[in-house]
Amino acid sequence: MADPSWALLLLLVPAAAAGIALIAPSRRGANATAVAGAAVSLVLVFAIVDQILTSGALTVGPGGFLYVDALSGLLLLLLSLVGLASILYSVDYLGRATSPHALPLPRLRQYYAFVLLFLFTMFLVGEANNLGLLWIALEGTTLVSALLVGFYHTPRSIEASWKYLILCTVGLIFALFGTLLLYLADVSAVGSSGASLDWTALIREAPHLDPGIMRLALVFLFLGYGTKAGFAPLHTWLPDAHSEAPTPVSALLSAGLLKCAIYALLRVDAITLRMPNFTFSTWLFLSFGVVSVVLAAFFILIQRDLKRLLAYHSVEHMGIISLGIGFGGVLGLFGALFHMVNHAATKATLFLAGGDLASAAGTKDLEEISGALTALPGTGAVLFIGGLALAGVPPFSVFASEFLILTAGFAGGAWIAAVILLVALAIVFGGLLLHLSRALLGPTPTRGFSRERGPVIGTALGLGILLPIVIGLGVFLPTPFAALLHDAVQVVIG
Amino acid sequence: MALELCAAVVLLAAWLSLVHRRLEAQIYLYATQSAAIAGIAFLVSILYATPLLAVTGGLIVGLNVVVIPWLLRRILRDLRIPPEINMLVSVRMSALAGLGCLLLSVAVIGPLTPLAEIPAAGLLPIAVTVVLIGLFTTATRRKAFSQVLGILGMENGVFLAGIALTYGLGLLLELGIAANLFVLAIVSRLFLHRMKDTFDTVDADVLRSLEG
Repeated sequence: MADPSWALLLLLVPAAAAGIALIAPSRRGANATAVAGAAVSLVLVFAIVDQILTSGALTVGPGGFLYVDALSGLLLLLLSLVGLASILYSVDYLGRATSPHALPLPRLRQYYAFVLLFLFTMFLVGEANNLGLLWIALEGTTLVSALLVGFYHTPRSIEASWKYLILCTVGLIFALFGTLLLYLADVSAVGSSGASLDWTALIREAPHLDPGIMRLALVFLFLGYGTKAGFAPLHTWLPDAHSEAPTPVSALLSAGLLKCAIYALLRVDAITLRMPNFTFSTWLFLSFGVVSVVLAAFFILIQRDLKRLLAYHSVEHMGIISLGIGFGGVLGLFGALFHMVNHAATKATLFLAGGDLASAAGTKDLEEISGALTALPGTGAVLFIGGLALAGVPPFSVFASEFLILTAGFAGGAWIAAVILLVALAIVFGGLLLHLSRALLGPTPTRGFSRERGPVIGTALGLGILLPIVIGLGVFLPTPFAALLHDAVQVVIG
Repeated sequence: MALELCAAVVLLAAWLSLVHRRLEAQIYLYATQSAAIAGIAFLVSILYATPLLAVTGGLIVGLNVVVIPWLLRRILRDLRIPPEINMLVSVRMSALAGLGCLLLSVAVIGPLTPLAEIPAAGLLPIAVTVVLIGLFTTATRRKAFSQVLGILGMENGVFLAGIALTYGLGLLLELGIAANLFVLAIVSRLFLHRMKDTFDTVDADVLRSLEG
């Protein structure tokens, strides 16, 4: 019998670390607390994933409120990896007194407390069994991360965080309404006395859910969680929030938070896939997927701001994941889930290295950055690798998952969507190479790069976590990870 | 009968908030609406013997009727927000839009058949109307403060739907949702203060620099 207490500890650790970070006596103490909180979380996630792989899903807590299966395990793994990498980078970027961006101690304490609480709410998303609790956790992520987006108190960051708060909260209110409709659908299946919002119960009763109510519920859930996932045309908050947030937070938003919203939709998809002759969710995933990749491709071409460029790439990749889920089958879902991990690692890598570049160049405007590969060989090389990976060049991991998704599309007969995806990928490939080749390979700049570099140990460690995923998973899938992906696919399609 | 009366108050408060120009009056309308929703929770709790719903009612009274309106009035006073609202559309159009929201909800919710199993489900179209009116407010008001009022209105609509459909989601969930609402109010207050400090106004119109 698996021991569920690690799943509870995983919630307790970041929450407790947030509390300790708030009263840390020194910068060193605050840095150490945050790193320890994230590192212990990662170890716990490894333990939980090991349990899931050997003895199956875990039900935890009073009334089975928490439930951790392979799909949860995958999300938790991705979140804890990106979380630790972002916090390690934060130590260099904001934490050390010698860094050009160093925060004063009281603000640093706040920063770490918010980041750790953000991790806590995201872990809760991954562990919630009750879909009401899942909603509470996701709304929690909005509230904490809005504070992080607006952390610098600049006019632009206040604007970005306000838009983010309002748009995502409106979206999530729709999602709460959709969740209530799920309950109503369960009433239609089992009567009002036995109805529940537990995912495990809804999965069991899925074949008897009322299709009319489920359709309406899905409309509200996709509007709500789709806003949060950055699906076009609901994505308008995303480039603002990603570009104005402190760099490590941008990485967390793009790599972690968007996946939490997709995860919520996957949980719902798993329910609808067990309803007979019900394809509405597939249709929604395909539609949002196509609109997202097309719109993002257009904005990527005209983008000049480095962080906004990366943000639009997130819209594109959320579209790709959505298409993978929509194409469905073992292949499509395997590709989509694999892509969630690959995109998270690649995008976090690019945000972190891109933040380094922007801070050395003194601007985020790509037209003004040139010759970074010679001026900053380390950062430049990471950006170069990350850029190629993001553009879908083999042998990187993003290529592998995109290839699986495309294959699933063509094999499943979804020709139109697959061709649109292929064209969009080609446009994005060209756009990204155009932007990055000038910034990285162009003539050495006249204005020069700042020589005032802070320490880079944390950054190196953070990238050391992410780069093996970006590069390695494209050529070699370790057996436990492949098993986790496989089990997660089974959770969705049953 | 009492249930219908409370439902009418909820709907009327939502509609009046669309046509009333003074922000302070809108706060009172929000408090009144919340009180009526709490009343519905108490009534349903008695009529259908669901004691937990009385706790929901208590939470709504504490938070939506007392604490949040108090917080909103403090924000109005501290930030010296001008008392009249700024709208992108006229009062007459807003009033019509309110009616449109009602018709739309009846048209969408009416045909759902399993509702017959739930005695209080007649409240659902009203709940959806309140959500839509809140959305309309958030989208068409220029002041960031009014956008918060719109969101709070939307949440009230969802609470009403929750009471009508589920007779209470269980204590833990309701405490969680209430805590989220409370934090939302606090975070909004924080941002409104920052906005005032930075831009010297809380008109969302100034938030236009990030585009493309």
